[in-house]
Amino acid sequence: MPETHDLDDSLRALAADLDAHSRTTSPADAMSRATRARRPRARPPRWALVAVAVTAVVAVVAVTTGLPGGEKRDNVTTDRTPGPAPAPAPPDVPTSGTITRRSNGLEGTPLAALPESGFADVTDDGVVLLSYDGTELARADGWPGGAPAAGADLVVRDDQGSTIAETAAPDPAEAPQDCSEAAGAGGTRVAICHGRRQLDRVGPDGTRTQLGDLHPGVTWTQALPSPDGRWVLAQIASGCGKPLAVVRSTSGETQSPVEDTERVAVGWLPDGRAVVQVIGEGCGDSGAEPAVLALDPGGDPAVLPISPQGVLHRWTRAGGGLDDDDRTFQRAARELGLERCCDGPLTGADVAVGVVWDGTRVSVTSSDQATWPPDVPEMHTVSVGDVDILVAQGAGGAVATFRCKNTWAIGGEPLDVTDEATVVAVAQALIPHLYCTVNPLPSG
Amino acid sequence: MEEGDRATRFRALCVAVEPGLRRALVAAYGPDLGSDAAADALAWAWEHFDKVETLDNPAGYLWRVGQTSVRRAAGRRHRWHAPDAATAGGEPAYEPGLARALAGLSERQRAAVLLVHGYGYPLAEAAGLLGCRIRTLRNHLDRGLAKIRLTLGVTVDA
Repeated sequence: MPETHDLDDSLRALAADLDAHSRTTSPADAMSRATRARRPRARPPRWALVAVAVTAVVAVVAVTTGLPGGEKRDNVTTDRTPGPAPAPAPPDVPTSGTITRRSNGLEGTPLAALPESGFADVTDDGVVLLSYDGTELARADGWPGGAPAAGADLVVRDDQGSTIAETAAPDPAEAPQDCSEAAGAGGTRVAICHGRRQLDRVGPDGTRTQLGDLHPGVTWTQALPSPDGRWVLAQIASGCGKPLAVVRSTSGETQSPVEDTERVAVGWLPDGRAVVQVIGEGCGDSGAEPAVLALDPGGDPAVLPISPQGVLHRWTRAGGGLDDDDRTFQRAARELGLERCCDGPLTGADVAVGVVWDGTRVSVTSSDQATWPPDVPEMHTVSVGDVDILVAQGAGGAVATFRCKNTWAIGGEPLDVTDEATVVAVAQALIPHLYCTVNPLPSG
Repeated sequence: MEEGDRATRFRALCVAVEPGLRRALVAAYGPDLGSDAAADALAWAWEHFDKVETLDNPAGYLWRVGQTSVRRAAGRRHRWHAPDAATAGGEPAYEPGLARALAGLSERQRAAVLLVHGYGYPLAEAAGLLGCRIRTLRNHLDRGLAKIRLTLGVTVDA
């Protein structure tokens, strides 16, 4: 490549050229193009053709595989005859599988002046943000798509100049295969398993400790570990349809009874107390009065000076724009008290890519597409906690690699060159806080 | 009145997403196919605006609509091309082999490289435009840049 052409400069020049040769679409263009695209449909209508095509494909597949339950799926014959033109609809848009509920704009304390977290009093008519001491901070007058379900955490964020509350993304903790959901905090991962009838603590090596089993017809609906990981606040759907809440020890030792009052598990206060909202009587006639309680595990409950009109939720200020791995990494670093650092090596990098460990900047990356490092002589296995990981020496220093939800690599370039002891120590610290199951190393 | 509000909201969306959407599709498929795909995607957005305005990331969704439009119009065997670097007269504005190197990338790699290094979009924004995660975008970038350097015979971009 000639010296006169820097790669980035060339890419910028080419991009400008592409811009100059592309055609912009104005809103009016788009609207009129949509109108032109609507043509009278020939008979039979598209849905009928699609139905016929689907039926034909199903018939071919059924004949080929012996469906239902056929096993010869590698031999499916695809009908390649041209079918009706499909609408240009995206077939596989990424989605978390949950519906995000959003409030109207909040009025009151500006976003920048809000504390990091607090309570939210949610009704169908809107939401009131409260501090933990019950002081009103802001309120919104409605949920255009419907109010969030009880137990959903909220985030408060900027939305094009307006501050809104919306349901938070699901906890990125990895749920084992037979479990419906998982949550992590304080180095402890809990999961709701076996048709929601079992509550388990799950270790990084996949070992499970049962924390609670329920009678038929009663299910766990949510489980939130405490900030120190020693307790779990769990929501139960009772047989009579009313929610119950209970705090259990994550060591499996303390099995406190489930009180028969209708209670919503709200979450954990920064001081380590669990918050539940007592709605009223449970399945029996317990005579419970509405209240918001702070439960000190092993201690007496305290009544908080809050009288919600609706269902109490927790809210936090949003970080925003992070994928699951970034959220996982940031949470792990925060829980370990590690300083995140170091913008990525690429133009426009905007997420931390490492931590500072004893003054050394250690790279921490993950990828859903990475593969195991090549089998090089310098690669060997190191046991950290209950799991084995790979450590290899490269030009950029030692790199520890392991795979759980994705493949994680700790150490090496682009940050400071690091020694094996450092990267292994970082891996050992991080792994319990990534809330995933580290896959066994390939044998042989 | 309601239709007028809908049109107003669509105009706002269109103004917000059009530049990034068009650039992503042009980067992936070239100026002609990419521009048409962006126009198709925005037309689709107007027809399905009730759905589109509830999306968390309409640009990422419309990128996929644009991809579908390209495949419908040109199938999967279309060839990417850039404007001829030599036609500007005098010294080419960019490395003449760059277009060929870019043509050797996958659509997503090409879009990632051009959005981030050509147009200067931050990683999070570029990932949003392509409807993927930042780490996935980084993979496309790493692999795309590695291929370009290999094709052009450079090892470090100074």
